[in-house]
Amino acid sequence: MDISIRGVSKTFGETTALESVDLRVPSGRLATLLGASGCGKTTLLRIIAGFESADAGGVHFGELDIAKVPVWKRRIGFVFQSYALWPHMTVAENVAYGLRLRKLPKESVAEKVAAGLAMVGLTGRDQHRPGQLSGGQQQRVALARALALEPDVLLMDEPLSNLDAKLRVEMRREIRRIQQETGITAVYVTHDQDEALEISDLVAVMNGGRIEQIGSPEDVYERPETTFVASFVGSVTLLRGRITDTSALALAGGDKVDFGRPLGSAGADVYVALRPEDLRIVENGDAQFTGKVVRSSFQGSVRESVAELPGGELLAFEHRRPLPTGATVGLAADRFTVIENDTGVA
Amino acid sequence: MTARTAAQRTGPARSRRRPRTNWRDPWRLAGLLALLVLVIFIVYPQLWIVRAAFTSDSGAFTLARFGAFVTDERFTRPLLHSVVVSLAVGAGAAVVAVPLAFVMARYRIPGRQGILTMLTMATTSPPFLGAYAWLLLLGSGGILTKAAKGVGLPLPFDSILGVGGIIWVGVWFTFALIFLMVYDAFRAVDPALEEAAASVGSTPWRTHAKVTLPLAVPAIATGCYLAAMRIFADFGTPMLIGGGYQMLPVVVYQNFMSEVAASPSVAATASIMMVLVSGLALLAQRRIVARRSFAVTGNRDQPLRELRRGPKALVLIGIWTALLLGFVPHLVVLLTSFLRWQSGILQWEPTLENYRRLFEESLQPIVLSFVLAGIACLIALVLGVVVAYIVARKKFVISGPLLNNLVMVPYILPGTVFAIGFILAFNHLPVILTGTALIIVVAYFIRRLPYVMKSIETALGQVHPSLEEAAMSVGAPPRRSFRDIVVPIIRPAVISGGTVGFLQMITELSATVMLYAVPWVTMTVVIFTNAMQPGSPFGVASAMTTVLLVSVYVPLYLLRRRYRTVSL
Amino acid sequence: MRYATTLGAGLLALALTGCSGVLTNNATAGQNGDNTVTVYSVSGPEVTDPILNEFKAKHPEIKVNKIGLPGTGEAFARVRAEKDRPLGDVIWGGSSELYTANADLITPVELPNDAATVAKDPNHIWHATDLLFQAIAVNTDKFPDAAKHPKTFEDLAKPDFSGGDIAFATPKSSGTSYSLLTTMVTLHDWDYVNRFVRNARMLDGSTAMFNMVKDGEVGTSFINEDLGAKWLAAGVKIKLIYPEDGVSSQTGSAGIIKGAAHEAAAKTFVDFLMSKEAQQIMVDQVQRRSSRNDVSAPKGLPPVEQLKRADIDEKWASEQKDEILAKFDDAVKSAG
Repeated sequence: MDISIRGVSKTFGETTALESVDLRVPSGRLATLLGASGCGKTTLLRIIAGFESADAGGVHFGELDIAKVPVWKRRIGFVFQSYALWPHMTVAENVAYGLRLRKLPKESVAEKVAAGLAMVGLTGRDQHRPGQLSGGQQQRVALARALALEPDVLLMDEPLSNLDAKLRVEMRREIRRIQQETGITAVYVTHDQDEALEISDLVAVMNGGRIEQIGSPEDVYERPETTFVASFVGSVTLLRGRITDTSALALAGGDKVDFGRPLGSAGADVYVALRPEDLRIVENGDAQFTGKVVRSSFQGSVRESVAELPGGELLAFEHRRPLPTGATVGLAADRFTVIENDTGVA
Repeated sequence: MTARTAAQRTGPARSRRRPRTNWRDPWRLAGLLALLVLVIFIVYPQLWIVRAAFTSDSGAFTLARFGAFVTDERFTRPLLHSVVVSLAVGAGAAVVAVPLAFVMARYRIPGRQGILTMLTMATTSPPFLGAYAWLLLLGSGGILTKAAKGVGLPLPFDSILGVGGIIWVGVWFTFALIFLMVYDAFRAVDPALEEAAASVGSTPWRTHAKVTLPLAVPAIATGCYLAAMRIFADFGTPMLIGGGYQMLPVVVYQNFMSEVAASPSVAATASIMMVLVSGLALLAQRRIVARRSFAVTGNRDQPLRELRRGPKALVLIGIWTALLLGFVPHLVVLLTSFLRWQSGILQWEPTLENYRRLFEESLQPIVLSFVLAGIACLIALVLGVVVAYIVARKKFVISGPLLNNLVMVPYILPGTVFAIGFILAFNHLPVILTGTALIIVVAYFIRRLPYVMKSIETALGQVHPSLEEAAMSVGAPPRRSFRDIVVPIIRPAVISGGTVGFLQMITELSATVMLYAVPWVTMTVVIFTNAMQPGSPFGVASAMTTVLLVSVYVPLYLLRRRYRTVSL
Repeated sequence: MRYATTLGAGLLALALTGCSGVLTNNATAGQNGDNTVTVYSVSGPEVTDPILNEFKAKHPEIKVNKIGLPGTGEAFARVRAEKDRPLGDVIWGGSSELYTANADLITPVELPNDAATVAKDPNHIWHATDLLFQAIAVNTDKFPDAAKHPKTFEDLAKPDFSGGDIAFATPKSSGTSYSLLTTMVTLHDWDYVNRFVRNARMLDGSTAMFNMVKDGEVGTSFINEDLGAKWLAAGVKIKLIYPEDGVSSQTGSAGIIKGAAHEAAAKTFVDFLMSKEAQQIMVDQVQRRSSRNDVSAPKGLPPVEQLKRADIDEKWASEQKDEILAKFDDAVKSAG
């Protein structure tokens, strides 16, 4: 079941939460809504779920316009940030509740509950109360509950943000596995770019109530279309300048850098986004940039240092061997992205 | 960036359709029905108060009476007194209740169920005789005062009579109310939040001060508000042990009921002043609650920890002392019901005469009280749930705030004034209720609805909206999710709120006395008629009070035992 | 939950029977004619019950519904509120001035026994049921020095009065206090009142005034003599002193509510209250003074002849009420 969102807008009083948002999630794919808090991602998810209604625009599940379909008939599964398990029911009852509403026969309910709990690795916990489980276990129950009805669409609202870092990594792989096993179309809201990049088929980066870019994780990371996307997803240096001829950029600080490849039409003001891992230390003659190391940090597999260019710009780059602060380095970019669209930085 | 979007936004936003009122929402209809009930039974009967307050003696419209409240010492002083005493009682009761509630909520205390049950019982004070009991103990000629003098123990006062006495009685009369609210909140705090604080190096006491206590603030605020308002509206206590200390309800009462120079318009003005002051208090309470509404979303149970011996003994002493003080009126009444009274004077001779005389008359008042309070309680629960749900959950623009404010009005109207409004409104067509038992039922549920509604609202505040959304997402329509999710979760609070409401109804006196007609004689009326004049047979009143308390405490105990697993 | 449901269903069933009871009760109330009389009583059962029992014996055909109300003010407030559809038939208790002040709520009737009472209302609004005198009460624990006990109103206003605070209910809300105030003004003058309030502790109602001297909260107060006598008998450490310069008094009264549904029974009832049998019970069992000449004073109270009754201009007292109260207020304010 694919989801298409067309021109959805929403305001709360004086604040605009969503502004003419379009998004299509193909059947069986997992799309992430990625953005900082207040960007509208949760609102969009809640509109898809039916907890909120859009002021304008529409949401389709397949061919069906769901504007008039209330939440309880939408065939969705929803996983909440706060788990939202019902404290007065056991784990099994939580999972079974929706099935019982459908008036399924007892045996089939029991079967599905057992299967659901097995899928999330909670076999044997069915008689526990939510209050007796850890946060990670509670979220597994919530996932089993959301999937028990075999919904058309699975919606997840920052489901891992209440968990600790290690568990978060484990759980997101779990979620991805289950999503792929069930082949369900899913929308996943998060502010964590690592999470988004790892589990998604499709990432929609949101900012100020708009979607700035939709694409595969690779697209979004390697080919950001706006400065916001570039800076929000991964670490990046944005160099601002004017294209002097097709392959050279005059930086704001006065330096001129030749990128060796066409950047665009001359005279245009652009940003060049450089990921730390795309820069390498080169001999002076091959260097596109020459700068002084101002700080350096050891990060295990690599070191990340920052070089200050003569014009004052700071450039982050990765390398292996230690570098003393104050040393002069020459750097060359293997890859870079030219961005014309200035939407600020995260 | 922000500026740019803001500029772009203004154009199309205007043309967008506004969210339309959804009349198919069943809560809409329920809300309107509730509103109708409140308008008929609160606004309509009390309208005349408003009218009288704005009418000069010659019948013209005037605002002069309100001017007097700012300038005339006869009003400014009682107003000030009332505010000060209410604040003092709220604060005092919180000082007693909050630490006890915290310890009870977190540590293994022997006899916890018994203590909790007794605390619920302590929210009900023997009507009419409560303050009198303190006077009997700590008045100038009081039993304890004399005993203290006898052994040469210096007391900080000659007599409990006076403003100190009002506050003292008020604190012990209301602390259980705060306790129950705060206790539930402490139980509901998600331990994860405290663990999180501990994990960043916060010491236990710092954690409690910075994390736990703030999370309980809404409950504390609501409890203090209810306690303060209970004293603010109470005229019996200051009349009995104020020793001439003027408070607003007394002014209202005297001006309505004076034998010599009743002045309903002055009383009405004072009543409106009371409504205004309590409105401000309500505003403050709501602000505090709203600011932190969903802070407490505990999904994990609070584990009960062990206390070391020393502290445990201390805690137990504290709890039982507080309970003892809360039960002083009850104990005094119980004791004196077995002693002979002559012309209203206690004689130290044991007797069963009081009970013999009581049971000589019919037992019908006992049954009747239960029936009337029972019906009223059920109505209050239904209405309370509707109003609380709408106030806590629905963003109804007009009916929401209207309900929220209207429902609190009876809380601050003195019962007698309230009753006069009822007679004026319901002694003629279109609605005739006077002379029937129904008018008492209505008076009960309208007067006690505020408490029932507030306790349900507090409970709803702890049910995160996502719990209902989760139910909807798995196919439950709102009505179904309300029934299956919200109702079971708030049931303990509804039951304890309903129980306390019931206790307050069955002990209601001031309005009942003005409204009752033979044969609809309640237990409180029997108590009252046997204690209304200084020479009355107080022994019979004490005996009836004992019967009343026992007869409400037994079902209360059973109910608590029944729902123990849920509420703990 | 099932428990609660059962409970609910039970209550509901009771409610329904209750409601139908209410309806039938209301429906029959009008038709029963004179079989019942509803009495709004402001006295406790210690006063009403002996007399009601006698009434029952004498008039078994009439059923009395007694509604106890906290005070005369409350009783008249209720009657006034019910004016358009009176639910009560008789008000019983409180002094005659209050009936005069609320004359619009009372049906004037002349009853056979009116002629036998010492105090008579020419307008037949109130009917005298008893006489009530106020004595000065001294708590002998709190104020033991008998030589210093006041003997007159004058003593109470002396600047060097050594009995501590004198409890005094505000005359605005207490009829007893108002009567005391008019007595003070009649016997002395407003200057006296100014001096008196300096020695007084203002209270909200007469009940507090009585209780405070009983409990020893104050050394001196005023008290209704019948209550004082009963308390003495019950062992309270008080002494009753009838002021030598004049004693305040009221006529305890009853009246028939205007528009009463059971007027005939109400007449029978009020007339009975003034009958010799009822008055004898009033004296013997209630220990109140009879309103009739042919019944002597109760045990423990001095005969009327020994007391100097203050002669109050009742017309002045009722017509100038607002002014009198305002002057009293001024006196209190200037006393600080």
